[in-house]
Amino acid sequence: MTGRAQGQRTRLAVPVFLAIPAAIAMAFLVIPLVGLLVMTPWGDLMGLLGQEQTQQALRLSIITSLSATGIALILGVPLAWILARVPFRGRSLVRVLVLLPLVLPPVVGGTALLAALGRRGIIGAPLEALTGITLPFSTTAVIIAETFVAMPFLIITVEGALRGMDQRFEEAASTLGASRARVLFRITLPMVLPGIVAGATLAWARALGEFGATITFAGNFPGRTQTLPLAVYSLLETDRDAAIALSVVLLLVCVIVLLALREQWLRPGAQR
Amino acid sequence: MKANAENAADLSGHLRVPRPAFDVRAMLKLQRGRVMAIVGPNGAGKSTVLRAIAGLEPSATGELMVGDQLWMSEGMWMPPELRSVGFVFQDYLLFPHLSVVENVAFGMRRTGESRTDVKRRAHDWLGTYGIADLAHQKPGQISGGQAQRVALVRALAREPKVLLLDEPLAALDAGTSARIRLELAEHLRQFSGITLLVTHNPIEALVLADDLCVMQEGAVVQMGTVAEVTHRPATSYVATLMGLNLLAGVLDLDRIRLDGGGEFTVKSLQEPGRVFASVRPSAISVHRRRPEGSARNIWTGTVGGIEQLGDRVRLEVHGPPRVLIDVTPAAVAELGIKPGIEVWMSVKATEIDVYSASTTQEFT
Repeated sequence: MTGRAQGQRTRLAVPVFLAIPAAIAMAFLVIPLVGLLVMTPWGDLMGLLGQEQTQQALRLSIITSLSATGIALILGVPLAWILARVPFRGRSLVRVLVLLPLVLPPVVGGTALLAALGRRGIIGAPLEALTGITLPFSTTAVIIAETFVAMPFLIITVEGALRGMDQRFEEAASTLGASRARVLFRITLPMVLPGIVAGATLAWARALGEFGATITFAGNFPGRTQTLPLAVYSLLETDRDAAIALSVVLLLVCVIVLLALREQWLRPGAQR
Repeated sequence: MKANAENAADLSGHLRVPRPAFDVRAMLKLQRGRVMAIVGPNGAGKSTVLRAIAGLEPSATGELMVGDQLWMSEGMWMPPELRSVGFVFQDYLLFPHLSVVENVAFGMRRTGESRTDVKRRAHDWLGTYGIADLAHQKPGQISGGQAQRVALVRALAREPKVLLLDEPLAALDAGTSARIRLELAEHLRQFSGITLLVTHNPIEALVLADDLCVMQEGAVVQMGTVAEVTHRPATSYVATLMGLNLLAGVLDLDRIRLDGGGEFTVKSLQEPGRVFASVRPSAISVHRRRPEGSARNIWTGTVGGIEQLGDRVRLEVHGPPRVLIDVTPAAVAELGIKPGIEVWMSVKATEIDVYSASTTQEFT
């Protein structure tokens, strides 16, 4: 027997007691998606997506998810920087609080938002008294709910990128006369850009798929708060084909996001 | 293109940087137009001194005066971006997302100057150093030797008062480093500011520096011109680097009682007291029998290590005193020298350089 044949034998020798559950796991993950694709009314897809309700949901989802991503970037990058660079008392507590929305059931997040920003909430009540503005059940509420669940993804990804960066580049920049702001904008942020892009993409995908916090805090009003996932949920009752068509769109977006991030992860040095 | 005279200034001060193992302390007096090399074993605190001067060690205390400008004193600490330094890092730290010319231009901003003007001046600098063709490459696309040049130009293009180089050639392979070393020596000669460089490579220090500062365990143990330090080392570290035997002992008239045992007769005008005696390994002769002749110092020992060094052979012979001796390969064969055999050694009194041990301890 040659060495190569022996090698092949060892490679093929996956124990049965591992192979069977592994195959079931794979099937379990894949079959629902296959079911979705099989049930998709491909011929009528464009027509279904062209309907008024789906169009509204698409438009609303794009606007709110992009707004949430933008807010997460503007607020999340500074917080990520502080978590990565400033050693302060209670930093691990802050990190736990930041990560909490990642594991919190979204419906609990929505309830919490309602408790804080609702008409009788600790911030919502004074806000209404002072300005007359009420947040719940508005498009703004959708953006707030999506930001709440999406921002942690951005923060942990950017924090990781900042920790992974060689800080001596920042020292080198300061010996070249760069102020702290110049170091941040010309050196630090460009060098962690791949991490920021990955974090923003993850956050955007999470915002796009947000359901629980949105329906709790913003409700399900077509044209105002009914995003794609909410539309899928509603249409399942009335127009199953349209629901499936929208689901396929969301699935497609997720596949694209995954492929884009895979590219990112496979070539971490692409920026250099 | 060189830093002009009004840019240059002298540097003086004393620093202390707390470290877990020991504090790094240094008293410095540097002259513009001169190059000082800090040498010493790994972990001696050499780089820490450079970083403290550049303002990269916020925990540093002490006083630092550069020209008529105070960089650091009691309760005052100038941030790095305001200090006029050019820092060449061991691994260069060229910004990977900026092109070579952008890297150089990064440190050249003057108030009120347009981006295009800065870029043009950066191009001029690259041209002066013969690397204009690299201008639009990214640091990841150029060789180690080229990156070293870019790092030097980036530091010099700021026209700094103080140029700091941390192991500037350590990241290069031996061949490249020898070539770049000569170039660097030339560039440093032309620079009219203060230059301080850290190296663990004695040849680098000798080729590049006018003055040497020897550090050990965070303290400066010797400082002086290259000739002073290399001829009269105060530490076995430098003595070994320079290939010298360094023996400490007590001088009384013309005799030194050596610390490790044994005695040397010397010709010296030194005051009695603690002294160092340094002997070149080639000044000691080896014999199989007790030598006749004029040499005043004759002793026996056992051959320990034998090592080929270029065209000579270095013997380690355990006395007392224990010494390193350089002989020719022919002598090794002729005398039948192998590890473990007993030999006689002799050295003339005039070959032993004697100097006071106390004059070398005043820098900490």
